[in-house]
Amino acid sequence: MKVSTILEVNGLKKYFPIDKGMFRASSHVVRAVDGVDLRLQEGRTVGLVGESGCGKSTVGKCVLRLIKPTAGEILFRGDNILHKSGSEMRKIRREMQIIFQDPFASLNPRMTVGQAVEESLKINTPMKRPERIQRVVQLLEDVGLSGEDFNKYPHEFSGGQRQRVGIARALAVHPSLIIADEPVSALDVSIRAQVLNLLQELKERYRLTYLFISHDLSVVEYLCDRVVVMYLGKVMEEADRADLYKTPLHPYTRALLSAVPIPDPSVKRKRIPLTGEIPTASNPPPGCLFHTRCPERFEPCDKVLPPLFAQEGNRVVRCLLYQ
Amino acid sequence: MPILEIRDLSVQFHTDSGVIHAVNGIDFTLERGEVLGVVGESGCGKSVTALAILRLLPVPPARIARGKILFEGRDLLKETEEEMRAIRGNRISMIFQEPMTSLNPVFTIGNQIAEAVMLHQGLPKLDALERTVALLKRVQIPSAEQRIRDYPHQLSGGMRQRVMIAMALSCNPSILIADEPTTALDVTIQAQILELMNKIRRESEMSILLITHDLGVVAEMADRTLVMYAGEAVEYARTADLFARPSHPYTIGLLDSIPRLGEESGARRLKTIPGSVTELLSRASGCHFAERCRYVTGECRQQNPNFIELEAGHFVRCCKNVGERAKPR
Repeated sequence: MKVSTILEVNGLKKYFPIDKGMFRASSHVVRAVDGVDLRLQEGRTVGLVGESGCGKSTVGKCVLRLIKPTAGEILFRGDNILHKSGSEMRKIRREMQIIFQDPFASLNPRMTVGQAVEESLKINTPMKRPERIQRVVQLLEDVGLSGEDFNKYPHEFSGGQRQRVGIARALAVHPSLIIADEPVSALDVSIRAQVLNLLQELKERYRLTYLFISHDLSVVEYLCDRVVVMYLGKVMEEADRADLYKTPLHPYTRALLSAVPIPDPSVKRKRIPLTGEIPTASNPPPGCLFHTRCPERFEPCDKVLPPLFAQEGNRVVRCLLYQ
Repeated sequence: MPILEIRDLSVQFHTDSGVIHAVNGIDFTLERGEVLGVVGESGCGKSVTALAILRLLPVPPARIARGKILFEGRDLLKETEEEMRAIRGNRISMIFQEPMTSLNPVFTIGNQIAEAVMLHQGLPKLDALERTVALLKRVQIPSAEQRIRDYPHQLSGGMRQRVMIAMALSCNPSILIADEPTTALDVTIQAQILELMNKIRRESEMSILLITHDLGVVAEMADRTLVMYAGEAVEYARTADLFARPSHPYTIGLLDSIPRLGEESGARRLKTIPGSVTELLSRASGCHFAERCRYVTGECRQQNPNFIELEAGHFVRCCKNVGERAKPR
């Protein structure tokens, strides 16, 4: 079976200006995303991981054109969406949907969940009302709710159920690509597993492609086929899941993995201590972005920003150790 | 004698829709120099327990219906408000999840820490500031002499949590209550804060009551662990025993439902606990976990099981003894 590329992101940059007051032109920018390349194969899940402020959510929003990128191209099925008009973009958005972190904030409290899901069908399809209702009921059942929930309001649901509504709404228009921005981070442990399983099932049933944005490395390992690690707006490492978790190459990836607390007191690990703070994207360090915290820095690290070096096994790493 | 002993503590909230039994008859002890982990999901009563210990719950709507909170043998529920003020922040300190909301944005951090020192230890301002610098150094804040002049917004989340810890340590408390202290932090910063808490505990023999939803954090930090569900203690054991031989279906379910790092998952489905957390308002008789339990029988719905000791120091609230059947992973 031939796998096709559904989404390709090339040299994506998003700079936010820092306002210096009314009369001074903004002299400074935050390089939230600074030259990111991504490639999503149809039916696969790519995980975008990193700590707060690394730019992972900004990438997701740029891909949907919810915010306008500063530079770069975003090819959806080979077509650059950055030059599309509003009406063309609406058509493309049917193919790409997003699930947000906070199911409390992303549902309108005055709309029943049925209306919330139906809204998307009203706007995007020529379906008539009875047809729409039938479809909404089916969607609610698909995500593990029932048709009887149609007339309930968001406050009547728990966090996990609300996230299911968010998923149903995203699925309403038969998208092929779903951008999931921290979809389980706000949920309780026992509910998180239910939603993760649901995402996995839906992916198989509808042959969905996910761009899964998360800070949680164990969730990413569970769900993703390929993993991209970001730090201060740049990709530090990208590899297939098994390779990345078995043999992380970048010192940052290694430290990140070693910092995750393991729920097993009998496991004693050597933690790689990272000293210092995460620098801010408005004032990134010179040279390698990670050198200020890197336990393995050497001579030119504070001067040279390494490119992504290709490694064996279809992986890349931004570190001079792998020159 | 344990430094803190909770006996049969029950906290209720009186609301318009009825009485909520937020905490329902829990017992535990905290020994000197020990870290006790309290785990559970939202609404299980773990934070309410912490606030009850310091008598920080708003009364009404809250009401401590029964129980004893024995701190060094004294029942805190019988102390006057004045006596409590001398204990809070002095003998028992607390840190919270979001340090930004617990720091005052209009005062420098030096000011805020020094205030606690001046209040509880009666030091003059200059001495208090000197002690503040020492405290900031102890929590490993670089260039502490300059940092005392910073306002909270000038610090990162990790640094703010260090400031909160410095403030909590300012009077050498016997107990630190840490309510989700690293939940808002990135993993690499979380690792630093946990390491700092361990270091402080080694140095000062302080006891820590660590409240968290993260089983990984408990596994790394806690000597003993209390698992709570719907306001009740469902399992209580040495952390090593709890993870090696989890015996309550809820504990087993929690451990099964977390994706673990370094585990070949592939298409593996996570085991889940069906349903969602039991409503505290409309609770039926019988075991509160019965609705979600995979081992449930008719007996479970009739009466709430007692908290029984399975093996020395390992307590569980379940009549099925499922630990035998559920194979630990």
